[in-house]
Amino acid sequence: MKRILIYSLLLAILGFACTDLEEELYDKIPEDSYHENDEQIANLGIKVYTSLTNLIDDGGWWFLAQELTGDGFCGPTRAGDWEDGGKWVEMHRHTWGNNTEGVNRMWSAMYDGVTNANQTLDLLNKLTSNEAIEAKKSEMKLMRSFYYYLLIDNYGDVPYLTSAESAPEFPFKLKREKIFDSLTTTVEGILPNLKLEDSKYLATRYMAYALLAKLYINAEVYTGTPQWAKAEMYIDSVMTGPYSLSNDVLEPFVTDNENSSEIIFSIAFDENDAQGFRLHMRTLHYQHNLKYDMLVGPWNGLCITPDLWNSYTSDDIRKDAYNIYGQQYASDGSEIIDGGTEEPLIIHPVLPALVMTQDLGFTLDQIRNTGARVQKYEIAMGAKENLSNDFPLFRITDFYLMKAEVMIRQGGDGAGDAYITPIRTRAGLGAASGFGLDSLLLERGKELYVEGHRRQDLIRFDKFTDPWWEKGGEYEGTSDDPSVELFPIPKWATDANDNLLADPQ
Amino acid sequence: MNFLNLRFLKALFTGILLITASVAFSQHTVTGTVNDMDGNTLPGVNVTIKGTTVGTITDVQGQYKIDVPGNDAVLVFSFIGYSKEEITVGGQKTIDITLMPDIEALSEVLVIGYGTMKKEDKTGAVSQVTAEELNGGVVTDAIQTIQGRTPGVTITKSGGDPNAGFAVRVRGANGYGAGTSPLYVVDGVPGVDPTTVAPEDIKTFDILKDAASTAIYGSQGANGVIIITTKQGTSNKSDGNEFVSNVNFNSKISLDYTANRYDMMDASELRNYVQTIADATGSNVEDIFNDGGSNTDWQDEIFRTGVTSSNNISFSGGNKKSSYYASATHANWEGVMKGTSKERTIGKINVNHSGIDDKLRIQGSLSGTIEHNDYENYDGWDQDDIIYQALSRNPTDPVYTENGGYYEANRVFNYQNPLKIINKIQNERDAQRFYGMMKADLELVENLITSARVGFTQNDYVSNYFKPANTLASGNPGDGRKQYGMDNQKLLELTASYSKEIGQHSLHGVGGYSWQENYYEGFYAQGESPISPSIGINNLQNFIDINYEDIGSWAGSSRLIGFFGRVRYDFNKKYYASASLRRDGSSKFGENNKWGWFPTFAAGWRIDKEQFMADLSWLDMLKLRASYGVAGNQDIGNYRSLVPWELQGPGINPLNGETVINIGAAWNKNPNLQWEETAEINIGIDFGLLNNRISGSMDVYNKTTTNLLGEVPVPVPPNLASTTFMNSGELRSYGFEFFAEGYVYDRPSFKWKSAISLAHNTTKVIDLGEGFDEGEVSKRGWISGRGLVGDQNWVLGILEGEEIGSFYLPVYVTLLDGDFVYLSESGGYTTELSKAKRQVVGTAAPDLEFGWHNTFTFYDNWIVEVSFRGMVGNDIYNATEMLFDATTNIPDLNGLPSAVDWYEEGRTNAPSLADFYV
Repeated sequence: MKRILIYSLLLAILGFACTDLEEELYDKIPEDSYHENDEQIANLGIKVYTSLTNLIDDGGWWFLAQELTGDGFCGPTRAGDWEDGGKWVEMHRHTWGNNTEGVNRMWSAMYDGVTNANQTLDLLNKLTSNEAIEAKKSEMKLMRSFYYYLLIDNYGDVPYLTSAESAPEFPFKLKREKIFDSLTTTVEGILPNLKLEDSKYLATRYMAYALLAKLYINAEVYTGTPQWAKAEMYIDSVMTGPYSLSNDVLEPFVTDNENSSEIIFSIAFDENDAQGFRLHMRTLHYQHNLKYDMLVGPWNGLCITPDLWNSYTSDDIRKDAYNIYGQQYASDGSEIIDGGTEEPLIIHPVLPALVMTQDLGFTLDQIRNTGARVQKYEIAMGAKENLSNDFPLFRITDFYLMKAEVMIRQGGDGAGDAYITPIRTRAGLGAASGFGLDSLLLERGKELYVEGHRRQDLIRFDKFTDPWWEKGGEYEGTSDDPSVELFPIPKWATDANDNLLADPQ
Repeated sequence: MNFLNLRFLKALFTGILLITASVAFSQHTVTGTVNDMDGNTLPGVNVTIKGTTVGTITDVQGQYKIDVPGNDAVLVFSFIGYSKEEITVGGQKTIDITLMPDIEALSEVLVIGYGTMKKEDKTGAVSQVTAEELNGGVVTDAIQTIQGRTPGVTITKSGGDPNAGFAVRVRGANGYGAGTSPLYVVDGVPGVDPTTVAPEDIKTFDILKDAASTAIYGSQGANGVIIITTKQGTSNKSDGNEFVSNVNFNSKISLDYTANRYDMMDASELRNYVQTIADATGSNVEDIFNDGGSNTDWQDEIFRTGVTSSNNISFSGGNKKSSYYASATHANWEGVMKGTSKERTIGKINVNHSGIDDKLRIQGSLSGTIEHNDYENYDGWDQDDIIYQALSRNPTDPVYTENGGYYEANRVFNYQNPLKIINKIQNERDAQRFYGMMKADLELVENLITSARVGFTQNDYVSNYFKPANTLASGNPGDGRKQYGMDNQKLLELTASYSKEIGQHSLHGVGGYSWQENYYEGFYAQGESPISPSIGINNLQNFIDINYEDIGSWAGSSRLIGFFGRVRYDFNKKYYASASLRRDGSSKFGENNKWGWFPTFAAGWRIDKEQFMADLSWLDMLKLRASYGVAGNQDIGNYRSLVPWELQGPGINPLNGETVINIGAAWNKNPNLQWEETAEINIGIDFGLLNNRISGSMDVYNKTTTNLLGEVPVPVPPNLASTTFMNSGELRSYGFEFFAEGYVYDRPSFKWKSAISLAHNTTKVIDLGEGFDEGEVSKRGWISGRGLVGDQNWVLGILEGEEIGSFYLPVYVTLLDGDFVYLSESGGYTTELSKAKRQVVGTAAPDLEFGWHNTFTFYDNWIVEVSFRGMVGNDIYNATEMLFDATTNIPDLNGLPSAVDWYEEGRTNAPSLADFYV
């Protein structure tokens, strides 16, 4: 019996010595050691900018949703390709629901940006304040405001949270106009802390002016009350900055566009380290890899609508500069042969229909080779699946046209001609004369093609619910329904938080 | 099936001698009666003359009559459940005999957690499958040998890929967030990969099914426990110090075919369809279709007859002190899909030694496995998924061009020649697995045995992937990747067991401590644009294009600690009771909840031993069992309770445009993360009938799994990351299991042994837990394919009150303007999937699983096995039909003939979900 006791005791001792269940982390940083050094603190806010890279392609859908819901750009069904469950066609026809891919992903991508900014702010608030930290906080608040600008622009009333730590578990929506007020107040309040310099990836004071200009020019849409004078004030602030129109319409869109004189704020893209810009893959023909010596085959999809194509006059420089059409040649000068028709590849610029299949009577040539493709963003020789061109979110040309717009709105037709003329003459066209809102909207469509402005513009000019090409009228899809001016809050989000269904606060 | 059967030859020689002998003596008749110990007569007993096939059986009164060739003849009396008796006739005319119960049969030993017990003493739901009962044939994994043998154990595998593993579920899947595979214990070491054990080396499988049996493994027991005991060297043929040795050799070969091919259109059917649409639209055929000019059956091109072979040699031997068992097994599986194969070699040594007057016993085991795998991708619809590419590829396209190259075309995005994919892409893996175990038992004082066991397993693998430039029709720069991974497990267990019998009371106790640590690490390197296709992945400097994230590595560890004890008691082998308790800790759980308690209680009652049952002579055994236990599950990834900050890829520093690396939260922390628990009640009956000629058992159970572990999506903000691992939700499973085996026919010349197993399990969701409101669905069973985009393409729904595996689908009503019309959520009709009302239209869970195994033995030497196993009442969603019955991709791609029928009905929509695909 004694030996049993001794043995049990031994076992018990061993047991206590070997009850260590602490988890040892090897390839991740433990909560209590982060941040390990000053560099990690300095890099804190970078994720907020990195979140921007999701906005362009189908990870975050913002760019696609702004352009494909408009009258100039579309994703036609080409037999078995680009049907994709109807997700492209329903953007054009405004028949999306609260469970559509674009609606779902845009929400996540934008709130990712907000959350990253709030988390950084929470961490910065814990550090001993100094000038650099205060400047960083202002930068983060500006970036957060940018994401909220996208959120209220696309979704209207949304939850407005300014801290990650103290956020309620199930937040309610806040009215769009209240968020608008808070955004303008916040950004105006931090202006002195922001760097007044031309730094295209950074949330600078010029970027803040540009954001305020965008908020105020859309004030009527966001709040019901126009604020053209305030908009004009901030447009002027941007225009007094170190930016100027370039002579070449394509200069802001070249592969190495980080030094463009036009760009105020852009998303930094790199084919390796900052991926997410794949417009060339979506637009180029399957065999266009031969033209650009690409090692990957593009997907033969997105293209211009007949409406926009037909609106370009033949002397408009932008028609050839922005679009790929006609017979296509490989980089060595030989004719490209289309793999479907086995004939020389000729891109016919006018798209015959939004949905093209053989059993609807379309030929292989129509299905595969129609609709002018986008070359506004330079496609580098040897391009990979991602482009290295930065994506300009704010560029000075837009502000010229915005200046013209607020002048027309405050002074009547023709009041903004002086700011439209430089844009037109650069495009090889005559000076603007007596431009009203309709001609300005058309000019914006031709100039700012595939830059992510179209949906917002059509809404501000009250044309978004008009029928066009294959939307409304004789075609499927909604027109005259103002509810499409906002995307619904995704179903997954309202499923996770019932409070999002309640009336906004 | 023995390759060489020496026994058969021996029997033949004895037969010849006997025939010669019989000439010398006159024949006479012997009669007699056969009784059992209690004096009951035994009908059906085999009475044969030794060495011949001459024999008879006893009648209902237990009487027999047989002509014997002479006085030297030996009568053999044999009967299932009784020891065989041999009696030399001598001059006797009447031979009455009493057969004794076969002690060995009754004392079959079950291996249970941390101990063994006699089969007749069991109180929980434990099944055993012994070596003789294992499924024959060439098997890819040892677990396949018990497929259909044990009710309540579902073993499935899809497709003809030898590299695909088996899904094993004991009494249904207990959850959906954490792992649902049972715990494997090999020779006492938990957590061993069962594929490292050669089927030929296995002595028994013991399957612990109810929580009362599994909870001694606490944390790891909730999904059932499968204990594999390997063969040891035998010493029972030796009378002492003499060393007796055996050699066994086994060789098997088998062929595999594809059972079902898809009925895709052939080239002429496709051409007819093109003509039809050309006529309908007034187009020229040449304008709408590019005819490849050939006639190819792409399934013939990618499928083949797979040849599979297995060879095993084993040596064993021993004397009373020492024994050994050593074996080597080599198997090679060729998949029915070209480009898939697996080759595996397993070497194993088991050694036993006893000393200090048998008070010390030492057992050691070493095994090593080397495996080579050749893979193809086939379960998606990417460029390199060969089944999708073959099914969808245009049958008018030839395989090769006129000058012998691969024919390529550019009909649609992602259109690839599957033969080129199979032959050009290298996708291989080499793995080595090591297993070592040592155990020492010391009888410290009488009846008290203390044991220490150490175990170590390590798995290493290297995988190589290489895709040369221009493998794809659309062009590709070429890429390659080399990856190395390793995981190991260290185990220490200290136990003490005590057994005592006082009069009619018998007591067994065991207690112990268990410590287990797992560690894993690995790294990879990859690149694009190789300069040399022949160097491939063998020199990574071959790749010119290398970027951030082209190298990477990982490492992690977890620990499990347990204290446990169990007491078993029986009174006169009539009343049984047992209880156990385990206190288990896992490093994976939150700081507030690392430890959990796992108690069990069980009782048994041998009803047949009661006075009132004594008259039922046909009933040999009837035991009622009842058990209750709580077992746990901790099968989730590591660090899930912490907020680990992880590297989240590169970003551009806006200040200077330089690349930096972002850091972010992997998931949210949850200091309360704890055990998933399964509480189970099991009631069972064991029976033996007609002198144990038929025996079996029946079990019913009801188990409730609470605190289900899962990754719950949470809103960001307010959370740091979009997922938190938490415990929430509840499941309930109930079902029954029936097993019976016996001899249908039992003669020396021919025996027919039959075993039947039946099982039913229902698993219902009681509570979906966090993140789901009343009436909400957890979406599962996502289908991907061309044209299926968006988040509606799921077919399985987990709903409260419904079975797990329920098909939850929109209800098709009719075709309208070419679209599917469904019932809508608002009560009307809709063509939009997202607005369609879904309902449960079937379940993947079967109503009944059955197995029926028959073993026919001819002349004791030739064995034929016939087995049936299957499921009844389970539904299947025909995703292939759905993906290929729409005309949207035809004629550029191929489809099913049903697509043409749909076309004629006017359908124009893309592949869409519908209830009728179930």
